Amino acid sequence: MKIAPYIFLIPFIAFFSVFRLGPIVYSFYMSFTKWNGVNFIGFVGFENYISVFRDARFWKATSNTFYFVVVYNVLMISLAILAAVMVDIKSLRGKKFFRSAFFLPITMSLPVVAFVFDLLLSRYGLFNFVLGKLGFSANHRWLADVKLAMWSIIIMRLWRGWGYYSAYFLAGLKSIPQNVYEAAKIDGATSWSSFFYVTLPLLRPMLIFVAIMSTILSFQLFDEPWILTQGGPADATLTLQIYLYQNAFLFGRLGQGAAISYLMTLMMMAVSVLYVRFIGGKEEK
Amino acid sequence: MRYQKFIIMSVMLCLCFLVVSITQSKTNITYWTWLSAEDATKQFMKIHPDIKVDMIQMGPWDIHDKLLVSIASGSGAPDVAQLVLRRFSDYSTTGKLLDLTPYVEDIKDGYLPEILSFVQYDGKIWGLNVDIAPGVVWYRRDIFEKAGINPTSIVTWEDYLQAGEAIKKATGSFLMPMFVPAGQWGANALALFLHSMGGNIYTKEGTLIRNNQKLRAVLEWLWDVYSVKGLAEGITFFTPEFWAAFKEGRFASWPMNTAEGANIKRYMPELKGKWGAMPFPRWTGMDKALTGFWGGTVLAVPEQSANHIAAVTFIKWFAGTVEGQVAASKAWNAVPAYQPAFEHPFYKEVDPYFGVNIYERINPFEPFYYFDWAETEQIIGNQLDLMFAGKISPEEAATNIEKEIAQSLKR
Repeated sequence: MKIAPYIFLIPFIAFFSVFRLGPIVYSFYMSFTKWNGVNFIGFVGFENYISVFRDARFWKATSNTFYFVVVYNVLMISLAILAAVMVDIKSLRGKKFFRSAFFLPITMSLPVVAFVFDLLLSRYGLFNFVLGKLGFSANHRWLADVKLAMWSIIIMRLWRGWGYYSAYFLAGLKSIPQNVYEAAKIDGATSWSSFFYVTLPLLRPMLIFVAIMSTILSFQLFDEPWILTQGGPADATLTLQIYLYQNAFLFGRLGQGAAISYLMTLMMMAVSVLYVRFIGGKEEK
Repeated sequence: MRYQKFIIMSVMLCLCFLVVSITQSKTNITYWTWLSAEDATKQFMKIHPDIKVDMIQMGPWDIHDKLLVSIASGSGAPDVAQLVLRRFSDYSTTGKLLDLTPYVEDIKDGYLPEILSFVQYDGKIWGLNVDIAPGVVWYRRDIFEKAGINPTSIVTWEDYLQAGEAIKKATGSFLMPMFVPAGQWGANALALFLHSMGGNIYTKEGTLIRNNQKLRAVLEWLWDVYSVKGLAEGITFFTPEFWAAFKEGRFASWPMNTAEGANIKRYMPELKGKWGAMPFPRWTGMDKALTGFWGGTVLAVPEQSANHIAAVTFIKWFAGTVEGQVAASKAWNAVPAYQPAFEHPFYKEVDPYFGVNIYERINPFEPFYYFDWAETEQIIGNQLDLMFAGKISPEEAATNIEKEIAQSLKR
């Protein structure tokens, strides 16, 4: 047996064990303990998980997070594909400009974006101004309204995210061979049918990748609602990640925080498996 | 020639040793703060040349998070940490801070018992209040004058509301901003009013006050101002929109802590002379006017610090000497926690921006007790949001606050 490869792997294995695997295992153990960061009370079995399940705020955070994940991802992926297809049109001029413009929002510092959106979504901000010009009621305080607060977060996140993900889809589009389109055209396919029966199916690997990555990241939604609303008003933008942070660091329940993080991991794994099964399954056949 | 070179080399070597030995004789301490305390630390280092203070600035909640992690891991804590008074009990109850009781015997009488109580736990002193944040009512002189209101005629909160109605009629300005959505700011504004009524959420021992009538009275008053009389406009506190609204004159006054005077000056320098300050009015049924606390800050020494003596020397200078307190006031508009400081001429001066002496506008106060305050803020904030959204009444909000605190915090 050759041992040389294993010797070369030792640095990685050591690093991974100490800095990755170790904390994962330790935090799993922590989720079964009562610990406020200072005083270690001891092993409490499933008490942390039971407390979390009994807490109405956990269910509120879960429903808010799922609402965000579903609405945001559907809108973001649709917009990102649309943008990628538009930029991929052969006759379009200034492609580089559009690509850069789409990508620009993600490069901006989040606190700056939050600052700007705070103004745009205020009572006298741009959103109300535009709504007023269109003849709608225009006196909303978007971030202060229980019904509109989550939508405000979705709008802000969409503004930042769709251009970024459109770059992935553009890369996916570039990998589709032109002769497939030519064959479809010879068979009488219109632009629409080419899009639905050629482009989308061949984009599926990239779609799965983007959907999984974006879902995982949107499950971890924290910065935008924390900066803009701190989870309010009345928990309308409370996400699982904010709930975790509050419990672990603000309320001093590190054990419970660890339990919440494992519940989140299970949710993300379940959704990822569903994606692969329902979107990726057909491709394997 | 060779001899000369030898002498020069020897002198240089001696100088190097001298510099190194001088540097090494200094004790370095790290100080975590979010405030602009550079000048104060420089002043301290002039007086104590044997101590070098490395000031590290970061956000207040970053300090709290990092300190918790440092305490949990047993390393990485600073020698001195500045903490938010409202959250201090999260640390004072851990036993991981240095017990300052034996070090502060000589200065502890300089603090009012109700101030010292903030940093005491189990009969020991775990930190020193470097400043407190009592409330005053900031008001726009020009708007009050336009409405024909003399601020000195406002004695009770009822007078204040009557003035608000006259102001709205004459100028269109709202009497005050209302923290909608509430969040932690709303919860602390409620505490400010509750404290000015002599009320509390918890007893001294940390037990929840049940059927809290003063809490109900404050919620009713806030509801009345915002939802019934329409004298307050909902706005998110401390946002750009918030400061712009003040600039535009949308609000005629603001019952808030004294430290916000620094922000009023910073964001509205052109309104110099147009802002004034008056004491908190008296609540009906009370024989004297009190003020409430927004909080304040505390200096503490983590037990894991290797420089206890130097760290204690620093915090005693900052929080327990007249010069230190004046330095804090100059740095961030701090109101001294150490009472002898008020004898300094600095505190007798009229503030040129406001045209009054702010320190003379501060009413007396009674003790206020903060326990598990982060979670308490979250519970109160949520109920305030529901109340201002018209989903629950003030009575229901009070009942829910008590019920949720009892359930979640078992107090």
